[in-house]
Amino acid sequence: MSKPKVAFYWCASCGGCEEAVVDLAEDILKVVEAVEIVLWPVALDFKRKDVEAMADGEIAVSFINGAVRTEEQLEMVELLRRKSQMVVAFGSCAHIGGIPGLANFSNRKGVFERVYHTSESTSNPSGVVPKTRVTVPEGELTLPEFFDTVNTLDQVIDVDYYLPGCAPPADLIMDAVTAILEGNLPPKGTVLASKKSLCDECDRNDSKPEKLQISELKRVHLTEVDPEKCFLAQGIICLGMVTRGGCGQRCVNANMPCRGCFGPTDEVKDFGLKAMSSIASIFNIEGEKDMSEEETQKLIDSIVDPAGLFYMYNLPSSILRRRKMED
Amino acid sequence: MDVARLKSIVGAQHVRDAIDELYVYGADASVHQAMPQVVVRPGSIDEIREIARYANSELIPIVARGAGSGMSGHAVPLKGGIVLDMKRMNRIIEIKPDDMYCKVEPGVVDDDLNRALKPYGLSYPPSPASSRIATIGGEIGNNASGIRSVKYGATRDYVLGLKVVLADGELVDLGARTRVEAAGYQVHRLIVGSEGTLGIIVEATLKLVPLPKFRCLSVAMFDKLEDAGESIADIIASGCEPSMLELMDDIAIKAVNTTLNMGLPEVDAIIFFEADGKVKEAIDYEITTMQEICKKHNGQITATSYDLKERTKYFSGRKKLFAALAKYKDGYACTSLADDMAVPYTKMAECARKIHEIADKYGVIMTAYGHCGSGVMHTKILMNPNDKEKWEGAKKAVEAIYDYVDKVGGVTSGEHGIALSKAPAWKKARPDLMKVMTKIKKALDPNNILNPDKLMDAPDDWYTATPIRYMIDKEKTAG
Amino acid sequence: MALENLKKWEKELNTCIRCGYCYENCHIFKLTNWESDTPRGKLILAYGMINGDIEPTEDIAKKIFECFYCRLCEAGCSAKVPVTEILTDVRQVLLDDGFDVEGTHVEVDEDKCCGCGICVSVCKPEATTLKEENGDKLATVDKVKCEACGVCTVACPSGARELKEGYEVSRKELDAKIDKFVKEKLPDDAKEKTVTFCCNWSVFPGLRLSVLPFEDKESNKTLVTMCTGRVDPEMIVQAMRDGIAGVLISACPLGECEHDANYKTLRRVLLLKKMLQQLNIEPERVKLTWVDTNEVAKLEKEINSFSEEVSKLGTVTVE
Repeated sequence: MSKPKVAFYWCASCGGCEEAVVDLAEDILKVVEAVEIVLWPVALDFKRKDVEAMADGEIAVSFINGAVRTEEQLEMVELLRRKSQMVVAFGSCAHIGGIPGLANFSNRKGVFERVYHTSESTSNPSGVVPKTRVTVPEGELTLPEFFDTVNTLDQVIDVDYYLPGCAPPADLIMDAVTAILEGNLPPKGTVLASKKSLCDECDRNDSKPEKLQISELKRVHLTEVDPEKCFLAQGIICLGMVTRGGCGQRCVNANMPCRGCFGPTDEVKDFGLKAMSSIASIFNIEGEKDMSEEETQKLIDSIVDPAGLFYMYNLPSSILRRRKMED
Repeated sequence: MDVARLKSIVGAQHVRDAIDELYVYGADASVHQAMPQVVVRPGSIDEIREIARYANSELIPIVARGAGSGMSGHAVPLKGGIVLDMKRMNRIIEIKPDDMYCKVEPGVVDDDLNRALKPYGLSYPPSPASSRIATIGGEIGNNASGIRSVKYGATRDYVLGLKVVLADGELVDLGARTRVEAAGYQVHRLIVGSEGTLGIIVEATLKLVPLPKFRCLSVAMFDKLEDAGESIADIIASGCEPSMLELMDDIAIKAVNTTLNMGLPEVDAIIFFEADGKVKEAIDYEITTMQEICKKHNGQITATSYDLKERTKYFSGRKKLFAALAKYKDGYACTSLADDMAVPYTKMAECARKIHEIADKYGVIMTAYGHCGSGVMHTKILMNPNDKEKWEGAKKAVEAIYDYVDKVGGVTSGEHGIALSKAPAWKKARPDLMKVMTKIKKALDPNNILNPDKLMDAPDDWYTATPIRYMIDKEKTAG
Repeated sequence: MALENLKKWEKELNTCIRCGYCYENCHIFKLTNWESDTPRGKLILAYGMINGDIEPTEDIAKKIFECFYCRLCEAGCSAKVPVTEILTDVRQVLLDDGFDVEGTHVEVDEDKCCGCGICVSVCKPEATTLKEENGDKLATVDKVKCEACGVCTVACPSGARELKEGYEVSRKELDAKIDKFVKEKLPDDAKEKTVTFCCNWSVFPGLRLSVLPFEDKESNKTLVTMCTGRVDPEMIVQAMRDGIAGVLISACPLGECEHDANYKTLRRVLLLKKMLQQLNIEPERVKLTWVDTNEVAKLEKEINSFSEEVSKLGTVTVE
């Protein structure tokens, strides 16, 4: 009996998801034993043409991480979709856009401007900028097109399952792989983590007062943070209440508030809008009757970069998906 | 009762026979209540015809119901049977501003109709105080009238035509669309005020009048009720044309002052009068004339205004009277008994005095107020409704008042209708009318299924006609 | 029977003259058109149960638990009967007697609730608390106290709370209405589409469900939620994404909201506007205006001027 074929691919990503697979440590041997890896650019030597040569559906599962924002990434994920029975969006970027998704506050022009011209460490006296094609004596050279907009994986291909997280924790990966190998999967489209948000498993939940509120905003890098108390109760914005659980509260354990890398729970359409609704709802409830409209505005202004904060990991998957650029 | 059959006619979702619905549809704004066997909401004339045919063949009573805001027991299904909730049929079929009429289904709420007419500069004026919920069908069945009826008349003056389903299911088209017609028996006029006993109204053609451009309200206070009464009679007799002419007696004034802190001067009587029209000078003339008349009878004019906000403020005492009376005395309830009558103008003040006298005699509190401009006097019997002795007193008071009304040439009801509460008094006063009505009823509804046991067929004792809605001495009264 | 405890209301119930004026503004009656759904009907049922004329049933109990606590019935009551106070007591008694029925109160999906406690903070009548079950913290709703304003449904970060469907205030129903309006074809010379969310009291007096006290322009869709606390920023942004040029929210003035929800709405709208600005969407496409009862003329003016302003901006295009 032949082993199921498995592919790993990376799009617009940092490489952390590849590390996460490696982080399975001894468990990775179990995985390697059970499957036949047919593509893994970071670790193995298979090429694109090897995938092209396969029959449609020959690959059992493709784990694709990273967001899609170049022509090549689009081609590769479409190819893998054709050749795979199942596609798993692996990690925040593929799932909801991830940190690369923040590029949706800009576009190609803006990104190139920054990277190739204005960044403090750029030295580009002749102002060279990548082009999609150039003719050289040997012929024509091409580079993939750089899209204006960063996409989540399911915005460009059909996705079967999602493994959330930046990067997905080892236990969730093992659970998912085991489930796949055993053929024991939940309905298509499921995000393979907890059904409830982080507060459900967070050990700081019990430290909340009866009426939770943020009376005054504290910024985490300017405050001495109590390692036992709920961040919100300390006035620090934590997005754990909106964020899907299953990460083992890794950031919280490091005394940092959750930033939402697992994305929202099933019922929520737009993570950023849900997060801001909740935060705004509990912002100085005790003093709300005494605040004028101007004072309320000031209170809101104490959140310095709400779009960046609430959309940190998920801008491409939000309702608006991106910032509207100036003409 | 073949509930399945009814469901097949109107649709299962429009038929209910569970206790939560039946108990509510057995009540209206009167002291009576009884339970129907089923509540049906028809959506079309054909459905009503089929229901009538079925009920007629099985001798099942039908009570057509609008908002259930009648105060004499019109909508109370004394004999069980089917309550026909007409509120689903609430379309305004057409408004013809150039022909000055409109056609409506019976479930249209009066205020909704007037709201729809406003953009055309038109109005349907005989609206009673309950117009915010009362339906046209119910108003027609009751021959309702209201604050403006002194000038504009009652419902019967506005019903040009009716479509009616008779007890056997036949549909008849009565009346016309023109202002006047001399084309046959005025049967549509007969249906007006028939309290659902002769037919089920399924469509009405109503006359419309222009909305007045201006209204001016004035208020006069009197130290003697008789002076107020004389002013009213004089105003009407002298040819003035008030668009509203209302009276409040001293008990009513006390009520609004104590319960609502209105701060009205504690005089013997207050009259509110209004003139409306399109020419300000004409209105000024009417108002001044009426004011002079009041002054002639020792009245003091305390307010005059064209402005809507101010008029609303001045009139609010009269408007909030119900609330005030309801809270007049702790433990007392405002019962709809002898709540309505009409007397000749010259007897208005005397009637009010008589009411006070009778109240004192029988140990209840009664107040006199109303659309005296149309000769209508309203009262309320305020008493502890749990005390059987008080009810004994109330019964005697009701009888005494209507005896007096009959004696001075008045009539048992000006607006609220006869139905159950006023039937005994009315039957005593109008034996000839009863005879003719019985003949007509027999001709149109031989099986007596349409709102049976009301009007001339009502029980002789209103107190035992149905259970009374209050718990009297912790017992339920007979049913 | 616990109903005996309600005998204390007998005097007030006698005061009710059964005029039926409370029918005029009852949201639930306007939806169903059955008289058992009216305040008068419910008081009649209560009186009948108190006096032993009728026995409580599940049907009756369900009716008593349906109310949005708008108190318009009391406001228009000829006899000033404390309708909501009486019916709240009846609810408690029915609940104590074992009638655990579904009414209009908020429901919590325990599979989704993470026990974060945010709902507890925003609920003025303290109708929601956290209970412990098998080591899990779960939100639970007091069916008697909940006034169905919906402010908690928007504050809930998991979307685990919802108002009952069938009363035109659930998320599903509001989304469907907006969607229908989005798909409507307007004449070429019509203004850009706007959606106005109104709190029930902003449109009083004269609000009869689906019959507004003013003529709704063809380019504006007015949606009445019982309280603006129910207006979810997701609905606002989705509407703009789908072609609605602007969203106006009409709330009770600060200090006038029965549920203190307008403070939450204010903070949400201010924060939303800031985020929209960061996304280069004109923040003036979302406007919060204060309209008190009896200020319907003001509301109509606001809708008209908002429509003018927002039409100049056109619809939202992001790509």
